[in-house]
Amino acid sequence: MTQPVDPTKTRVRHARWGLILFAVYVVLYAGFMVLAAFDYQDMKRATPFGSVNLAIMYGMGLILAALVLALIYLFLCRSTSDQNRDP
Amino acid sequence: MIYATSPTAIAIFGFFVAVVLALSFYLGRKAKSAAGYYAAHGQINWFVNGVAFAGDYLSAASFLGICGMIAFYGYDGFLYSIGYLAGWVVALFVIAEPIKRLGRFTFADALDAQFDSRSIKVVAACSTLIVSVFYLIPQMVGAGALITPLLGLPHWAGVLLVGVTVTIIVVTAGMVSTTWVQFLKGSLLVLFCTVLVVMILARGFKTTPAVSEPGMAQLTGSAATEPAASNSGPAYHSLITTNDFALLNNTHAVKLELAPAWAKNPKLHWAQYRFPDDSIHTFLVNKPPADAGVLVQSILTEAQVLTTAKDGRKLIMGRTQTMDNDLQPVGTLSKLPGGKTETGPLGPLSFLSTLNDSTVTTWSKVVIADGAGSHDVYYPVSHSGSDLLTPGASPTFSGIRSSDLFKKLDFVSLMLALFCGTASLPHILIRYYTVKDQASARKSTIVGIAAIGFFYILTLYLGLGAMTSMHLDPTNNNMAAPLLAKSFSNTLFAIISAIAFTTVLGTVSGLIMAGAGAVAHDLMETFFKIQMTDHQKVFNGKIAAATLGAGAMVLGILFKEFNVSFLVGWAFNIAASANLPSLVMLLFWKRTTAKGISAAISVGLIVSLGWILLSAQCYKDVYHIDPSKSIIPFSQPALVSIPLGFITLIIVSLFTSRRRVEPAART
Repeated sequence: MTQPVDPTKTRVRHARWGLILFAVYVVLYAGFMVLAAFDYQDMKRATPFGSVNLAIMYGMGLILAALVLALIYLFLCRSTSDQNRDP
Repeated sequence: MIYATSPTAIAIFGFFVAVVLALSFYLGRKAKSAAGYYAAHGQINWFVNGVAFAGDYLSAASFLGICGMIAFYGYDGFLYSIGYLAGWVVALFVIAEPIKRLGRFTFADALDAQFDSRSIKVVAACSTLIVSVFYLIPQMVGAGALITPLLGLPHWAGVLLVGVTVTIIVVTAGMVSTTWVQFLKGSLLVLFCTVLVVMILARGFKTTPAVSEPGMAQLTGSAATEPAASNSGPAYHSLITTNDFALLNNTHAVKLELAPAWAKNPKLHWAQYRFPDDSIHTFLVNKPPADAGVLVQSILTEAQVLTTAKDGRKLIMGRTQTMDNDLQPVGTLSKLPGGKTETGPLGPLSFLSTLNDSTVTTWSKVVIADGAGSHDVYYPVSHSGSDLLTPGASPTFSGIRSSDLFKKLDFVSLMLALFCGTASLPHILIRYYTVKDQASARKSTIVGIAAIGFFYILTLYLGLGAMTSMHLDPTNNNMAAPLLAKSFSNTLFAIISAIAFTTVLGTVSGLIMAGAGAVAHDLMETFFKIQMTDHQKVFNGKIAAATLGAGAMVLGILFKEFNVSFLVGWAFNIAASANLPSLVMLLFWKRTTAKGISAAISVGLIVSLGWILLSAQCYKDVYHIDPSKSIIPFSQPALVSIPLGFITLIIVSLFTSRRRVEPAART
């Protein structure tokens, strides 16, 4: 932690983490769009957790997933960001 | 509907506006330089900035539009919530840190950081202006929609009030006061909506039977104007539901001949009766199935008719519209699972599952024009809860349930626009310049996501609570959230309305700041190369802000009739099409050229705007001509215009020589 971190390397590393997490979310979001557009009946019928239907669960899940991924990103960046003050 | 004004509401509302204005004048003394005016000196704390993100983003569209759409059509409004939030993922993971690193005051700065291109400046400034204006319209419409019931003023007065207040905020202190107004509003909005949701869950559901007894008491005329029982606005009392025999055998009711226009829609059968008090009752006739036998009666369900007579008078049930003779508030639950009539307090999940197994009455509208004038006929439709908690129940997203591929693509296209649009909105992007470094940009985005995500989960409960609150105005879905508060108490109604009003103030001030930055900083200073002192930069920004404020007021009055969420959808489409391809390619493709960027912004802007103006939706709602004449296969352009932006950028960049100034810190 005492070694100075190359800001360019940090930036590249942040960008890579960002893109990986972004890709995870894109898959989740695309799954939702496709399911809603082409199989809305199943979103109505399926009740994966308890008695609330899949449409509601998936929708709320997307909102929570955004927050969870954001927190993971914050955690991953924490170790480097403090030494990377902008000029 | 006509609303009574309440002194409490006016007092609370006045207090809010006074606090906001006082704050602006106080902070205005500190923001004299350009860096202070446009970017609050980059010294805003990341947490405050994060909540201000929420305050900036949770606009009238989110609060009024989404709640209204859920209250009227169920799940479909929540699709906007999901899309609006998902957009923040793009902002956080792709855009936030680079945009902070590259820019100074505006997003054009960031795009142009590696090139010194006047064409980028001018197209980016145009795109900022157009997106801001498209986003401003629904905010102003929302303001007008709020003021009408709150202060009893007409729509235009509400628009003027917002316009003038916001212009004062922006002109006095720029980004500093804008940030604090947004911080206050973001916190209050999330706090009071949480209170409201707790109250909804504690109240649970109660049924109002869809079929009343033949309603003979009401037929004599006395009960039809029964005074309201509750002190929180007009109470719901069931409209008449009866059968043909009861009406035919009743000597008080005279059946009226209907003009042929009433028979135009083969699915809706109407009957009209004049009652002894001269009121005209319109019924939707639910004919029994053909094989049910001759003795089975039709059930007649009363509709509500607002007539605009040829001479411009507004009539309810054939008589002049007054506070006592007005449309009935609607929004009822007709059947609960297990034959219960009341649930008592419910948990967040049992609230949803109970509604899923219930039957809900929502109101649809049809316009019928005959010799007497134009009739807005509102009629009840019974839905199963499970149907309302599934995508595709609203006219906007009905394509989901059709077999037409283009209609499904319309939905996909809108969801794509919402996903890509957030990170391309100029008023969101400028907020990255008010914090001190990239780590703060990142942290404030995460605070924003938490506050906004939590709020969007609340919108589902607010909308569904309003749907069954017995307080909905069938003519105005933008009023669902404030009227839901009214179903609890008038004070809560006043507070929620005042917060909704500051919601509009917060977002509009952000938008005007973005527009003013585009004009004064990008166009005047960088494109026209006008030499300005620091003081002149601030002065010109203020002139631009005042001009934009005036323009927004005019547009807010012109677009009165639109659902605010729907209009915001257009702004997202344009923002995503014009700005996202350039932002992304600039960051991830080293061969991007200045000409490529300007071409991509221009193409995205022109194609998305042209597509919207030629879409069936616009034919129907703006030009009032037959939507089937539109040559555009689906209304939302993003699915076509975003990829087109990327393709344009790649092709033009490949054909133009690289002429970029390599900054030292570039990777």
